[in-house]
Amino acid sequence: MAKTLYVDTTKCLACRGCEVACKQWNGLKADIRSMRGSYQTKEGYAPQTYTLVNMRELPTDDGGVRWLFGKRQCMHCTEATCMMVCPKDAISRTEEGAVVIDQDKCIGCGYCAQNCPFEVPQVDQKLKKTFKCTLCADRVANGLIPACAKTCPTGAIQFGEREELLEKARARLAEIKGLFPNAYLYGEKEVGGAALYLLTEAPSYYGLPRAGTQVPWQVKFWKYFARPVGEIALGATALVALAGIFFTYVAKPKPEHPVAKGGSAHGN
Amino acid sequence: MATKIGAQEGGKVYRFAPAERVAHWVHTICFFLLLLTGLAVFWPGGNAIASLFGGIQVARIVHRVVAFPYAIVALVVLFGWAPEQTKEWLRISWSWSKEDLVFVAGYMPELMGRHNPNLPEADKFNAGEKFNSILTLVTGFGLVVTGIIMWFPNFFPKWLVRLAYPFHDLSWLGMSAMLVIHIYLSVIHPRMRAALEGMISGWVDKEFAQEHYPKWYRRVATGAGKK
Repeated sequence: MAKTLYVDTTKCLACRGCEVACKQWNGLKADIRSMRGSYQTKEGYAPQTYTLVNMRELPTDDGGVRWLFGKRQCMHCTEATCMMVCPKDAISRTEEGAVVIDQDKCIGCGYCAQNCPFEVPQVDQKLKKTFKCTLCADRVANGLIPACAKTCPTGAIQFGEREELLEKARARLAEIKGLFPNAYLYGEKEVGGAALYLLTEAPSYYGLPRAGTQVPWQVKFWKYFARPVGEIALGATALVALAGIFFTYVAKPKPEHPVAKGGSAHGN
Repeated sequence: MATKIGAQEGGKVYRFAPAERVAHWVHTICFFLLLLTGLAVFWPGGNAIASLFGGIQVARIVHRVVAFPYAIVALVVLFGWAPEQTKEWLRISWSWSKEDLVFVAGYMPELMGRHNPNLPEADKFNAGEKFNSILTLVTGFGLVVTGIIMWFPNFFPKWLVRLAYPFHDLSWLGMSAMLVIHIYLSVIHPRMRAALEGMISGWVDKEFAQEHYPKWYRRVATGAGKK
C-alpha cells in the first residue's frame, strides 16, 4: 500500500523545523541568501533544499493579515510526470510509494525539472544531477517516518497509509469548513492522487497549481502520440528498406525489362 | 570557369554544383553527430554511444555545438555560393502537382527493386526527393527552434518549453525515418544508387539522368533553360 505525507496547514506554525530536519537527515548544506523582505526562509526548492514552508499574507476584512503557511515537498504523484519524461529511466517508485531519483542513472538533463507540474526537481548544474525529496525512502524502508513528519511539533505533518490519511484529512476538512469556507484538500484528485495538503484557501493562494492539476497535456501528447508515431514511422521505413533489400537481392525480380540502360523515357 | 549544370562529357551529365555537394555533406555529418549525441541522451541504452564522445556530459555539449553548423552552414553555402541552383531546388521541391502524388503512390514496386513503367516523368528532383527536401527543411527548422527553447527554458513560457520536447522528438524521428529510405536508395538500391556519384563528383551517367530525370535532362541538356 502506498504511503504518503499529509500536511494540515491549519496546524502549521511555520517553525520550519521540517526544513532543518530535512537538511540534517539528508546531509544537505544550508542555502544562505540575503533577506528579501519576507519571513519565508527559502525562496523555493533547490538542489540542496527538498522541503520548505511557503508563507503568504492574506489581508483580512478588518484590516489585519492572516498568514497562510504551506509546508511543501515533492508530491510523490501516483501519475508522476517526472517518471514519464525521464529519458534514462532514472526515476522510479519505491514499494512504499515514494518517487525517487537514481543518482547513478541521472544525467541532469532537466526534463523532469521542466515538466513537473509543481516544479519540484532541481538540477545541480555543477554535479549534473537532479535532486528532490525522497520521502526519506531510506528511513521509511527501515520502519521510520520521514524526518519532516518526525520533527513536526504540532502534528501538522503526518505520514502513513494514504487511505487512512485521506480519511483523516476529509474529516478535518469537514471540521474546518465552517471557519474556512474555501478550504480544499489538495492532492486527493490531483495527478492521480498525491501527497495531501489541507488548505484553508484555494491552491493559488498558496502558490500551488490550480485544483485538479494533472500531468501536463504536452507531456501526454509527447508520450502517447509524438513519440509512438515517430517510432512507428521510423520502424515502418526500416521495414520497407529491409523488404527492399530482400526483394532486390534475395527474391530477385525477373529480368523483364532492360535495367537502367537504353532510352526508357520513364523516371524511377 | 565553373562547369555548367547540364554540361556533358564522356557519357556523363553534370548534375550538382560544388555548393550543393558541400552543403549536402556538411549537413549529413552534422545530422549524424546530432543523432548520435541525441540518442546518448534520449535512449536509456545510449551510454555506450555517449562514451564515443567522452561521456554523456561531453555528448550533451557536442550536441549543442554541432547544432550551430547544422542550422547555418548548409543555408549559407547554398545561398551564398549557388543561389541559382538553390532557388531552383526550393522552387521544384515546394511545387507539387497531381503527378507527384501519382509518383509517390506508384513508387513501392521501385523500392522493392521492380520497375513501374507508369511513373510520371521527373524534373531535377522526383517526388520522393522533393518530399525529402521539404522534410529536411521543415524538421531542420523545427529541431533548431525547439532546441533553442529546450536549451534556454528560462526565456520561454513553461507551456512552450513543454511543447518543445514532443516536437523535437517528432522532428528527429520523422527525419530519421526519411533518412532510412534516403540511404537505402542512394547506397543499396541497384538502380538508384547511381545518384550517389552525382552527390560526390557532381556527375551522373547520361542514361541514369535520362531514365530518372527525363524532364530535367531535356531541359538542361538541350540548351533550353541552360545556365
